[in-house]
Amino acid sequence: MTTDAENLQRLLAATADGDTAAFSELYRHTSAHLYGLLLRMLRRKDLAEEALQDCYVRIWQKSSSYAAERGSPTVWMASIARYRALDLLRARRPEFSETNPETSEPPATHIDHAVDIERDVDTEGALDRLHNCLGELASEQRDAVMLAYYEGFTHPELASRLDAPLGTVKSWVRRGLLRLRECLEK
Amino acid sequence: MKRTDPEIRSLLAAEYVIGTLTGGARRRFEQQMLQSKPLQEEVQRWELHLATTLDDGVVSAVPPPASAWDEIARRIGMESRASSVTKGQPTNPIKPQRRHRRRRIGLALAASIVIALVVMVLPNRVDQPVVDDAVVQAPDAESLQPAARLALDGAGHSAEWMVGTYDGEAYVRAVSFVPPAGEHDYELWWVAGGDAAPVSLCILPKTGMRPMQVPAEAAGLDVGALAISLEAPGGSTDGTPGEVLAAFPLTAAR
Repeated sequence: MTTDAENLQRLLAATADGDTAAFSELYRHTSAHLYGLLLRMLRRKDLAEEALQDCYVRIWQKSSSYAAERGSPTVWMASIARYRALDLLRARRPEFSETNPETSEPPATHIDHAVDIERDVDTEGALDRLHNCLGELASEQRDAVMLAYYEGFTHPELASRLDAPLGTVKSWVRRGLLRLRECLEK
Repeated sequence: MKRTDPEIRSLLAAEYVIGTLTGGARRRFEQQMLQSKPLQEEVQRWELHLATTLDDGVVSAVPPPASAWDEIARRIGMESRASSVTKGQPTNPIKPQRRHRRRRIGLALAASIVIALVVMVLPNRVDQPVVDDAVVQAPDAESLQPAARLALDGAGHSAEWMVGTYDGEAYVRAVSFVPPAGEHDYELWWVAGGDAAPVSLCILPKTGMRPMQVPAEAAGLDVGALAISLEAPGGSTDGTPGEVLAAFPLTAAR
């Protein structure tokens, strides 16, 4: 995000005090990113908007529980958004159409060649490390993890998308995550 | 390779965060997480690891429609339904997690879904309903003497709870829970029947276990019914249920 974490932390702290102007500003700075994430995962504008509303109501209610050690405000807010999207995906699975998405963009995962996982080598810290570690994964492991993370795919959906047996896909996810953890924490 | 406990814990946390831990396994993990600081920390670690990707432009920013902010402003009680988010100067916003609204009176038992038959032996208590957010971590789920299973299934609702007793106290435990659309809580009521007013027992927990406050006249729970209603966060504020989703007639049969 373009707004620095300190500014967002200030806005969150003010929001926790009931400052609605700060909450409005927080929304203005962050909503496009969260909405983009929700559209990616839910692929329906009505669901994404509903989820976005739920997210910001929750952010409003829970802002006092944000703690800097849990990461930047964007990490905290994105986690709220992702879990809400996962809930909606699981609850509305029969209605959820993967074949007729309302977003025209391709999935924003590292499975897509449009995304170069090496492009941010100049950025600092965790992001560099994550990109480097993702780059060390076998391609099928990386694809499985990123599709699950960004698109909300379940194991069976991954198996269908990646045209592989369910057990194989589960193995890709688990081995990918274990390798990622090993790399991130060494 | 034999995986160590920390590895398994980390793997479960990672699959929880990315979403591939689903169904009952996900719900069990959430319950374990309530009682395990190391699990909570592991989940936070993965959230930190992975969420950094949100900052790098992999996900395109898409401006949401203006209606989204209007609805958020309405839901949190901002008086001004700001058409511009930079001018959200509100009065009396609803900061607490309760919102106050009137509800229609009456429990539409006849129109609700009858799912389960239950009998419970519960202590005589006439305390006011508990509506706070505290989730009791003890007793263990395994220690609870089950008395009834309450299930919502269909019409956009999917959740299940177990009602039971432990050491003379009544509890309700979340077995599975899919949040309803919008910002709502489920509330449990006891209905004596006839013209008697429904009595709130508790806000049904999303996870974990919560004590139930049972009025004396409901101690036997062999007459009347339990009912679940859909409420604004924090539950009914006027002592009457909102939309009744399901009813569970009580009988002496077990």
